[in-house]
Amino acid sequence: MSQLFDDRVPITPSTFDLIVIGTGLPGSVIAAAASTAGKAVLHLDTNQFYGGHFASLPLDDLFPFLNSHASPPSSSSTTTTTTTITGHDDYTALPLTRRLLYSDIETVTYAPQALAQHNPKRFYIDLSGPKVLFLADKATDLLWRSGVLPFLCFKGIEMKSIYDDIGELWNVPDSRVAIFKDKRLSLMEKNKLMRFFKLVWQHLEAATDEQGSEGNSESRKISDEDLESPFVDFLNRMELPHKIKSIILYAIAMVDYDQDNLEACKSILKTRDGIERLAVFYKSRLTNAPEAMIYPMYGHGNLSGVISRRAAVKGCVCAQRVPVAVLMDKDSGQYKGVRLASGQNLYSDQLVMDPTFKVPSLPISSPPDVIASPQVLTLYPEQDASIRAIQIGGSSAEVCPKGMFVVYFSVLCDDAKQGKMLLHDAMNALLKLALSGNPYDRTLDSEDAEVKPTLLWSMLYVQELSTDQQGYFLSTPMPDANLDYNDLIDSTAVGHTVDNFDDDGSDVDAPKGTE
Amino acid sequence: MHGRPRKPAKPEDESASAARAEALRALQSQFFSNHHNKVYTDEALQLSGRLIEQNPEFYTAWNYRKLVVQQNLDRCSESDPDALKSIIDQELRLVEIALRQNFKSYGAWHHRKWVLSKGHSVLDREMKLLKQFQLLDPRNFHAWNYRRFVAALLNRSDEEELEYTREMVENNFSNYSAWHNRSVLLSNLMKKKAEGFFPKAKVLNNEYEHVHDAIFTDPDDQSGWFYYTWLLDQTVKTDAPLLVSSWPAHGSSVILSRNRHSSDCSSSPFDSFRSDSGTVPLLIYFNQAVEGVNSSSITIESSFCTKDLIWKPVLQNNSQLSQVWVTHIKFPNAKSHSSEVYQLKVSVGPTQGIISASGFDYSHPTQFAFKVCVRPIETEPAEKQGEDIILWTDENFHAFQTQYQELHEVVPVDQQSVNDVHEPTASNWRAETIAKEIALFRELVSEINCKIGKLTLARLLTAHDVILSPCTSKMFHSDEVLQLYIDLIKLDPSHSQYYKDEHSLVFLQKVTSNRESLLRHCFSHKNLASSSIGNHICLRLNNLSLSRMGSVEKLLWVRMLDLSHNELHSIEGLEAMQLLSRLNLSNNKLGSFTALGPLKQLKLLQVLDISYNEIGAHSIDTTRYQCSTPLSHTEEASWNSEEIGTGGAGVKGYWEAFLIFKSMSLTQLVTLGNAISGENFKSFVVMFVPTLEWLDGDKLH
Repeated sequence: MSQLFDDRVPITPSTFDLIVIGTGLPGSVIAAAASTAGKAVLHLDTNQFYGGHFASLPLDDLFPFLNSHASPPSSSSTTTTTTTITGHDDYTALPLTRRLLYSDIETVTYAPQALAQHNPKRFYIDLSGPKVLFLADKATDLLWRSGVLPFLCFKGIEMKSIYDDIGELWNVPDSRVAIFKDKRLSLMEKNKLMRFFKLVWQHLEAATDEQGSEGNSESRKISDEDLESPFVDFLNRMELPHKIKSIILYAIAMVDYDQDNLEACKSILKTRDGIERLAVFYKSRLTNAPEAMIYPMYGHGNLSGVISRRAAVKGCVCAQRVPVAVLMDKDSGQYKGVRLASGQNLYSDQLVMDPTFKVPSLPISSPPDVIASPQVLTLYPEQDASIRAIQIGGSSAEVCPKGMFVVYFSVLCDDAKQGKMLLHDAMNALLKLALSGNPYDRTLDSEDAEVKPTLLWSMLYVQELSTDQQGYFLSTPMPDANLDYNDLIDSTAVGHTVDNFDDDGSDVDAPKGTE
Repeated sequence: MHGRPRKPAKPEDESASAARAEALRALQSQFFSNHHNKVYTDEALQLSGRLIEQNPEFYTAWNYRKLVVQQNLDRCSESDPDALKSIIDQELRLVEIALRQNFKSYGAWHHRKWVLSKGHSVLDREMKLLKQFQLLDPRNFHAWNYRRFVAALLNRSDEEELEYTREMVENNFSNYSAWHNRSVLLSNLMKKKAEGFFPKAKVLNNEYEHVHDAIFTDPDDQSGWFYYTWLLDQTVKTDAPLLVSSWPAHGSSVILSRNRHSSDCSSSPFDSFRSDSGTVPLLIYFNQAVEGVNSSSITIESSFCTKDLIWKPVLQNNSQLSQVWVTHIKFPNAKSHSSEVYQLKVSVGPTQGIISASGFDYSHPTQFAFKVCVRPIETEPAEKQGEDIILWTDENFHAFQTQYQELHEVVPVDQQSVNDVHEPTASNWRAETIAKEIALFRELVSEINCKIGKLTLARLLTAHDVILSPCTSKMFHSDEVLQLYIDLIKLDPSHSQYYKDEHSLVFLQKVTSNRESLLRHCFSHKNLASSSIGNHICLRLNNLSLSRMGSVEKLLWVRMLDLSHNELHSIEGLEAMQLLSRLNLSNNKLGSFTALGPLKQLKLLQVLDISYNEIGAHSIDTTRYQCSTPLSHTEEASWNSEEIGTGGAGVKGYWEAFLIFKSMSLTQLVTLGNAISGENFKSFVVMFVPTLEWLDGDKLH
């Protein structure tokens, strides 16, 4: 069971199969999976809350947290770690340095009085930016199989829009019903879009049939040659009009970068992957729920908390607010375990670490990016990267007081200045739409649905995206820029752990981080 | 509820179901004993309830409960509303339990209606119940039926219900029931001309837009098309019946002779008519079936008395609704040695009375006029003598064009000035709407290979032609339509028969749409000049792959018709060709004598060739199930059982043939080459068709 850590009481036992530092989503999943598989797991967190970089924090905790993980401008809170080499054992204790994930934090309070009327604890802001779960995606599957679903409540994302070239929000025709109801597509465009969907569905069904070893599915499948080609080329070969291509690429497949200019594009989506993304959508619709996407009530941080508790139920030893150092063998330099601030040494074969910490590292920049969606999804295809936004209503998801909304924006960028500019533009555009009485009216934090929405408060920051790995410690991934958790789960190597979740305690290896 | 595969039963399921059956049987026998002994106690009622809970389909139990409930209700005094209510509530609860078992149980839904019809219950609950059921399965047509019933009881407006269908369609447009209810409601609203539902053009145009979204989004889904077909019908059909054609046609001159061998070649070959009794048939043809055709709804001005004419529907069944009506006008005897010319002016619908099947009056009074020239009898009617056999071989026919000069007079096509003006303004929106639809579907069909899209386009094009010229059916699009049907035959072989039929109908429309094309099919027969039918022209529609007969309204004048070497499996419609006396149906696909039913209406038919068909080849006569005139129900009781009795085995074996030939006076018949052919059959025919002179090419007597 989870215990409030008391320095004075040593943790027993002192040897574990696995030590996990950090209660971010990946760390929690690994801890829970390993515990379920019958491994002895120690789950530590230096914070007093669950979630690490995946937490949902109240307004007043938000800035201190970001700041403590921010680079230069705020050098006030430096991590104080001391290297202790105690002579009476054979280990070197390496202090963990905090990785400075955030930078360029910029907080503006537009309406202090309005905000002051509410307890800042009533807000839950997701550190990880705009994220949702798809009903048929891996994260939902994982939650389902780990048995934590009954402890969570979700709110369906009711509307999904794309910001079109004439500056209006347009409901994304992403299903048969949505195409039927759409008022902007011409009849032939509807026909073409639906035919494309059917082609994909047929391909997916044929792929499923094949697993059931029913032959003759080849003709309904998309050819391998097509699957390996860029998705945008495939769409062109299908003779889809530009408008429909944009919808598929940016609003359904959620591509990060403008795909029209393949030479200049930073990340080209292959048809295989594009279809994969459509498949998640399609399967989410098949569940018969009115919405394909869901948002966890009380914010995404709640997911980490619930999963950590699951780990505890399965016998994982959990402790929070624990400063730690990593123990290395003095001679061989091999990882041995961790040393708590109390001086207690705890040993394990493996260590999994939150990306907050590093020992030595080479930053590798990876290409995730921006997102947006819930009540609103926006996108500016004329830029290089798409901007995604999610609007969550306070009354429904309990992330802010009633009558208010939280809107998240994100964009992938190489340059902080440019990224901020894009986000400012997006914010202004949405706010303007809302003010001009657009039907998608309920945009920013508004006091009351009938009142024009006003911006009360905003915060902008840049999160570094990097992954690293080192010999003996596996670093869990940090929040990426995708709308869903699929890549994250893949790179947590949960491929393995997810199987362990089925709760029969079968003997499976402890999870390993992939590169 | 839909598209779920059935799983094979596991052994344990089977034993469970056997046990259940055992229990059910025990319950059932108790129930029957109660029912037979009229035991209506509470206990017995409960037993029937338990039975129903297990098997809601057991309608005897429902009926039993009705008896009991009715008796209990009768006993209950009006002054005790609580008792009444509890009786009713108990039934409603039981129905709900039954429907939870099987929400498609006819008995349960019916019982609920019956209970509600007794009054005493709260209807609001019904709407809630319906909501649950339609959430479970939005297409459940039982629930939809019931909804209509409750909506009527609640006096819910059609507008409200229409809005509800819109919501249901928006949730999922694959919902026949919702679309269907929409068509029912809209029909009502348009008929009432309710506010916002007039004019029809506006309403229909909105509906077209609505259904386009469904059809174009998913052309493979049939429910949208189903609604579209209804819309198209609403657009094309005219409410009021119209007169389409007549014989004699407007402006024509008919020569009536009584001479058997009149060889008056100067008369128009199309309009001479021979009748020993001096009567001329008058045929009128409407665009839809009507009733109320009689001597007051149709008046004739002439110099002699034409009052009290008997109008008869030309139909195979006993209905009083028919598209074609006929009467016979008896002309006074001509004075000797000089012809007498009579002018006749026919007014159709001067007074109310002619009404269409859907209750619309004939609202466009029309007139047409023709002349009848009665020839004097030049010789005494000769003693009846035999005729030569009519041979249908090609060498006996000559192209018709070369022989006559006054061609422009003769073929009575598009002469019908009678109906020039029907609702000229109204038809404008119809034509515009259809033209818009044609453009849309041409685009769809050019993009994708869509069977129903092609069929719809063909129907639209045909409808467009009809709307632009309702009487003459000028075929601007016939070639495109014919090509579409040819494509469809290849594309969709399982429905090829339907496409072939449609192709035949359009092809015949095309042939009859103008004088030139029709004349190409007119021939004169070698030994017709001396024949007795008074008309020298044979219309040859042979070797054209026809599978259906159509455009008969343009062919009322035909006396001799060659339909051989086609693929006819039905000759429905041919009954309107009342002047027909010679008919060649050889080498077709007629499968039974029943298929020849229309011939019974052709009182003048003398020469018939049905050789080389498939009569007798099919042991089950499907015609009777397909056509609207099941023989067994409509056969006049004009024959007596004695005849059949004395006919012995012959009649028993060939009673279908007997029923056909009985009412005809054929003089020449060819039946060779059918499965039924043979000596037995031949001797049967000889016995029961006494007028016959030639059979299978042999002279009788």
